[in-house]
Amino acid sequence: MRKFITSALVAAGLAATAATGAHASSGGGHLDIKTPDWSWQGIFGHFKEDQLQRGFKVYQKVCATCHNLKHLYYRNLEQIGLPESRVEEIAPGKPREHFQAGMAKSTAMATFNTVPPDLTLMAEARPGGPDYLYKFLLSFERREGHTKLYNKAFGNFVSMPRPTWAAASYANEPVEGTKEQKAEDVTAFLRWASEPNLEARHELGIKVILFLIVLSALFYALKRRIWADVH
Amino acid sequence: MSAAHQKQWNNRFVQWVDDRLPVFTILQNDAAEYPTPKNLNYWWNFGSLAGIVLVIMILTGIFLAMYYTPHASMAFERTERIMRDVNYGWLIRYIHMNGATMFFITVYLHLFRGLWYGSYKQPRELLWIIGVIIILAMMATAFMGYVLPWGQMSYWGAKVITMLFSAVPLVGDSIVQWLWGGFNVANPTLNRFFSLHYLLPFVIVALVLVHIVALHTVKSNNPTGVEPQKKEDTIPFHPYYTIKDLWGLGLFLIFFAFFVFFAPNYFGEAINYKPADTMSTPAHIVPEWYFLPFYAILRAIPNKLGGVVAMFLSILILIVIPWLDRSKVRSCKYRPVWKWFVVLFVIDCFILGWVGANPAEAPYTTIGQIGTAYYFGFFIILMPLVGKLEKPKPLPESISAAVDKK
Amino acid sequence: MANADSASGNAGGGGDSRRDFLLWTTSAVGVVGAGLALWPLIDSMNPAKDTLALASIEVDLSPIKEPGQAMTVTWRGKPVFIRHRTEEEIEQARSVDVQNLPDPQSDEERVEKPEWLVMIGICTHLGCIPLGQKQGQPTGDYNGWFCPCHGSHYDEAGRIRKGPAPANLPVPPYAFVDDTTIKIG
Repeated sequence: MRKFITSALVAAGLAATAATGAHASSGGGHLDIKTPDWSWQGIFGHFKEDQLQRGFKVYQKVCATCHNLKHLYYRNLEQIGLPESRVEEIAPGKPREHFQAGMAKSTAMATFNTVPPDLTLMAEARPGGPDYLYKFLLSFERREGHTKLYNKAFGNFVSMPRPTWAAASYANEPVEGTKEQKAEDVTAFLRWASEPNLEARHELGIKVILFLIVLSALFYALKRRIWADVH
Repeated sequence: MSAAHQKQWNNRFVQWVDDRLPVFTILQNDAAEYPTPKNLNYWWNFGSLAGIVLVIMILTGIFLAMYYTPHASMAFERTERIMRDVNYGWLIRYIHMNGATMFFITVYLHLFRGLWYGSYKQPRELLWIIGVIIILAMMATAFMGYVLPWGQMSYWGAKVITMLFSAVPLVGDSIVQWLWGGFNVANPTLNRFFSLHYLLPFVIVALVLVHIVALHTVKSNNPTGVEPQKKEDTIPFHPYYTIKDLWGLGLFLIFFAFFVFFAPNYFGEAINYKPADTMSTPAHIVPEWYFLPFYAILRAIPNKLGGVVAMFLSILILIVIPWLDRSKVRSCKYRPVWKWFVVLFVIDCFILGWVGANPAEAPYTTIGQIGTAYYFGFFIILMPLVGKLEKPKPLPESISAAVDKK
Repeated sequence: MANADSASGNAGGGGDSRRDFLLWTTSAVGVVGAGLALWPLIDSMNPAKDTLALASIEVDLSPIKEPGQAMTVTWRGKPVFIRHRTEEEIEQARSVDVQNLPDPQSDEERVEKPEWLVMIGICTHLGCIPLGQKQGQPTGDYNGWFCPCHGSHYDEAGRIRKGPAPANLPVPPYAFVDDTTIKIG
């Protein structure tokens, strides 16, 4: 019986390690781009408000011309620490409305011959998750004889042009405005946009698991007592 | 259940109810006094765990259905709304998503327990067969549930699996059109999948009750495979096994909660967070992990009809194993040769699962074919043959004798 | 479960009281846990965040050009009656003896600005929508609104005067953002 419990715990532990490690190792493949240590990873992981705000700025200035965040509401921005008044300025209509960014379908078809995808779930909707997204943003290159750019992370030519990083000014930010920094910030912002409840999930999870450990310990003690005369 | 022998109760209200509807007698006989072999190990926990997961799935499912909309143009967006705007919607959906995985984990372990300790053998054949039917109903339910968020993998999974039926000679195409309710997987398909996904779990509940009635008629098997002979061989289910099941439940919930809270998408496919695109197929179509071995069997046979038949047979064959196994001994504990084939069978299932997760190309195809050959050979050839030729170890006189020896 | 005590009693032997304590503690923790686990399910049935975000609306009053006109807007899925009252209507509404009303309330208590009457247009009897908003509709015996379902009569201030309804038409929380805009909710 002891043996079984031990092996069950070991199995659970292995699964746990595999689960947390999975995202770090997958995606991107042979690219030699080092991905950042994302702040939301791990059991105590959480977003960094200043990074999300910078990431939102990058999204607004660089991505929003073509890409929408259709599942996000403007009011959600209060969650990354923007004051209500600021959100009201940002929203073209009311804060309670969905994001209305991106490009009209007809314009997009005329310019790129494709519709730029919505980005709300982009940080989760590709194998490799945010790591892939980060590498993708930094892997554009021109190849002889092609009008489209090649993206090494994607492994093919893409309709998307190189991000115009310079459009987002980091002059008043405490960090340097390198394209790596901006890619990191916007990836963090998009990860938040894909799951605004991530922090609530982690916080509740710790409480639930602690409670279950106490409950299991009580069950185990009671089980030992009840079974005392059978063994 | 033995409602005929009514109990006497001290509480007059209880007595009044019990005289008219013997719920208390049934509870007393089947949940409290039910004589259970005293030597059950932790492998016997998974039946009740699976039952609890079923309850969790139905509960969370009912609340998800309050916000979900089964329409091709709304399903994805409404699902995201559950994740973002509904109070605790993310929690309920993550429990439901990971609950499917937990359900299959517990049921597969429960099935393996039956296989290892020969729980399918006389007189428990019907008990076993009902179990196989439950697994089939679970698979149908899980498949249709996976379609509901209407992501890329939902859509293409639905397409590929329904297309399996086109392999049926003559009427295949008509069957597929009938399943779709149109000329492609589309809104009518989504609607009926939602309807059936809501219905089938209650069918499963009914099957589980039948499973329990059968169990309490033939009584539980045990690790020795020797039937209880005297009173000392058994103990009442309550409190011994209620508390043992609860302690197992505690550990299991920690495992479950870990995935819900810290790796909720671990078992899922990233591409299902992309809305269904009817005009472009994802590069790799992979079913959920619990279908992978069967998917590998499907792809191992180079003929369309043959592959589909083999896949369905790989589960249906479980129905006849009570008659394929010729051994007089139930438990692998006393079957020195057979037990290694069972171990190999488990390894084979993992290999098939791994093959199913990989693309249909060399070397996976060949490995898949070898794995499939062993899968069927295990049941059709080895099971009767080893049963006849093997010389089992001597069985203990009784359960008590086996326990005392330890 | 009825005979749980006897079963566990038999199995115990020594240390029964210690086990009882353990049994009660475990049961208590288990029951509390199960209760807490139900809360997310129950709470999920409360209005979702996007529904709550719609809980307040801004209404532009400028379509109403002159006294005596009315408009109906939807707030939280309910009709809200907005009426620009005439001088006579206001005078009439303020001249009644409040003490003798079925639901005593002065006109002043029911308005922010005397000329604008804003109230939820749902009869307090059984939830029908009273008539009287549109021109030509019956306005009841008190020159206000009349509920055709069971014959309740409301006056110029939306107060119940006659019929089965127990209370005045409720006034929603609202405030003037500027002269021609109100925010309801």
